[in-house]
Amino acid sequence: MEWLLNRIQGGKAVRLSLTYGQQKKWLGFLFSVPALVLLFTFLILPVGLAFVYSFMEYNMLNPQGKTFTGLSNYARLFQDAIFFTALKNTLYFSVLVVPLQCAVALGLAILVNKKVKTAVIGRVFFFSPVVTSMVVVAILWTFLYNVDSGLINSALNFFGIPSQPFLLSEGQAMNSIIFMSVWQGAGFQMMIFLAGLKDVPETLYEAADIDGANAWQKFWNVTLPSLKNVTGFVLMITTIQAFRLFIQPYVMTNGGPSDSTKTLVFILYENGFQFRDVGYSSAIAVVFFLVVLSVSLILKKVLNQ
Amino acid sequence: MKKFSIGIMFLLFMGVLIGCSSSEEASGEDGGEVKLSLWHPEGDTSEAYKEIIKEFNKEYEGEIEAEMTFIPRGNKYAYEDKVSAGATSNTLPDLLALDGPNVANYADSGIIQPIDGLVENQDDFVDSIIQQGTFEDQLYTVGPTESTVALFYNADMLSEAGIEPPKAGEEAWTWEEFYEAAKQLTDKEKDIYGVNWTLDYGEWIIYFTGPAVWSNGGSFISEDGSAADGYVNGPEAVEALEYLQKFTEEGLVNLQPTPTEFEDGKAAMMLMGSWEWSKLQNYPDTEWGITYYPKSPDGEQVSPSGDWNWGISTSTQHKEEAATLLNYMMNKENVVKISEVENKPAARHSSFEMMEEWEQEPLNVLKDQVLNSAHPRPTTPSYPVLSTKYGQAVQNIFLGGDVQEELDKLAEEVEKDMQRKGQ
Repeated sequence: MEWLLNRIQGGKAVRLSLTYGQQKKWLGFLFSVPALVLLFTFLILPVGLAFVYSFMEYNMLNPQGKTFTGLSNYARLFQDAIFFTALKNTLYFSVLVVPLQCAVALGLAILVNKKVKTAVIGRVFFFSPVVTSMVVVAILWTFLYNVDSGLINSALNFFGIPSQPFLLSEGQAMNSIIFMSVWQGAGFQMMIFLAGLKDVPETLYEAADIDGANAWQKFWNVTLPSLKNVTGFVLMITTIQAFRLFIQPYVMTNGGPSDSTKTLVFILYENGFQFRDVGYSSAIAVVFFLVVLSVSLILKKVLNQ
Repeated sequence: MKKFSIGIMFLLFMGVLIGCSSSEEASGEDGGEVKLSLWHPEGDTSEAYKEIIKEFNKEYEGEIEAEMTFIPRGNKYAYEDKVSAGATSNTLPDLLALDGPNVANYADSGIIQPIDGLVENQDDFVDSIIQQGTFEDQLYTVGPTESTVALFYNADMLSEAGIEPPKAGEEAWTWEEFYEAAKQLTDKEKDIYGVNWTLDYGEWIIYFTGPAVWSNGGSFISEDGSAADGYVNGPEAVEALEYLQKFTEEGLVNLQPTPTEFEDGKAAMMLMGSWEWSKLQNYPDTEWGITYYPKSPDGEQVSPSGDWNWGISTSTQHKEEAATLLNYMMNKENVVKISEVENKPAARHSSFEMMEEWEQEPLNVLKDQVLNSAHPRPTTPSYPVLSTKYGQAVQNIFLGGDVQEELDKLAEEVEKDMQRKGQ
């Protein structure tokens, strides 16, 4: 890098009579161009287009025929009962999944944060669902949740508990998805917590030992405060991830029974791709963006205090 | 020097980006050879189509060169998503395959064009395939194969129970007879269900429950396609679905069956698509037969129809050559070829006659249904909403939801979509 800067300084760039600082700035910009172009094309542009399309009547099969219709998509959205059901379901999922998943992840991280061989095996074991495709996991869990022949019901029957309908019941479908999602996702947060745990200085525990602290006191007064930043980060990404819930209901329940597992992203997909209503779908996307943004900002504020 | 190479890299990169967006229409004119592109979902027919395209290219060497891309479908709408994306980015092929019920929606959106007068031997195609390809009195698509749903049965189980399945369309079971048979054949102790029917989340639900509604004198939308309220939630449709609901409520049907429930002898009968018979060949231990789709007590015997079709896209520059290729694929021999690999009924009378297997039991039942009781699904631009929401409503109904309530909600949603599309 330095070599390169020297070369440019002593070569052509001097003729442009730039100061060293300016050159550095320009070079920095040049280096970031590929990333910026990608960022613009695949992130900023689509978001911007979604915003524009949300004010349009736009049939996906007939892009030439799109027309501006002002706020009509938004007006329709706020009269659409399914939208509010989806919003409620998404919030319900997030409110339950985020604390559960973080708690499980932290528990697992502490469990496998030992310097023994079995801990390594544990890490692999708990992380493997994360690297498995969600679609595959969802299909497998559909079998597990089967009323007649599912493994979970067989286990329940063994303990004398009657079979549960799980995915076929309006009341249980979302909870079933939550349980399975925690199982699938916790391994990822576990890894981040684990990295955080490695950074907690051993000396703090030694000091706590001398003060006569028990395991719980050590966890509460040493481990948790040391993990403050990591926890904040994990809560944030888990929340954003939770809001994007789509694959599980798409594969396992198709949004049913009685819309009980329809989420914002599910209706976004349904309206956009199945009904080919890009305008309306974009309006959902914009509202979804605002919801996630405000929740993230609130969460950030709370965590900073 | 380094800076220069950075500049080059940047230019190359921009070039790639720009290159991505430029169209690929240029070929054809100067070389004298017209290039045609085709899309079809990947499946059993892929090999047959590959062969047909190869022969076509040989025959029309120097004039037309066709290339077919096979796109995975899955049990949902992956292929349709691809077509939607193609329409948005203006990258549709010259000829595209589409599922029957999409004809109206695609025609209305202007991505396929009328082919009136371009199809050779149009009279030789079975009625249902022409009806399916027609939107607002113009023909848009034709297809090589047809499909239907019939009642497959386990011959041993039925004879053990002393039940004689009907052998002719006029004698098809009425709803009551079918229900009684299912009830008698269900054996909860041995975990045997009377009937098996699949409950996937795609097009299947409207396709397999449609005949119950039609046979009862009902319909999904008004004849002119402008209304759904009073039709999809009309008394005939409600009665039909209440009838089907009895099966799930009383446990005569497994709501979460294994894919091979019937083959494994865990279900005595199965309402299934015509394509399934070839898969049953893999289970030589199960003696099976086929009988007619049951009919409403006051109605005709009706069966569903519809299959994948070919349409010419509006974005093609070579309509004439596309029609040549379409006619080539749809000629008598090729229709037989495609039908045979997929084990589907042929959509041309002359081809169907060449397939002797379909004259005899048990396939003659399927042939009889295709020729005599086939009913197309509704043609309306609002079909995607109707099909998806109907599927969800029926799911709820099978899980014990109130039929009238569910269908009323559905009618409201479809009406809203129709009004938006009508604007």
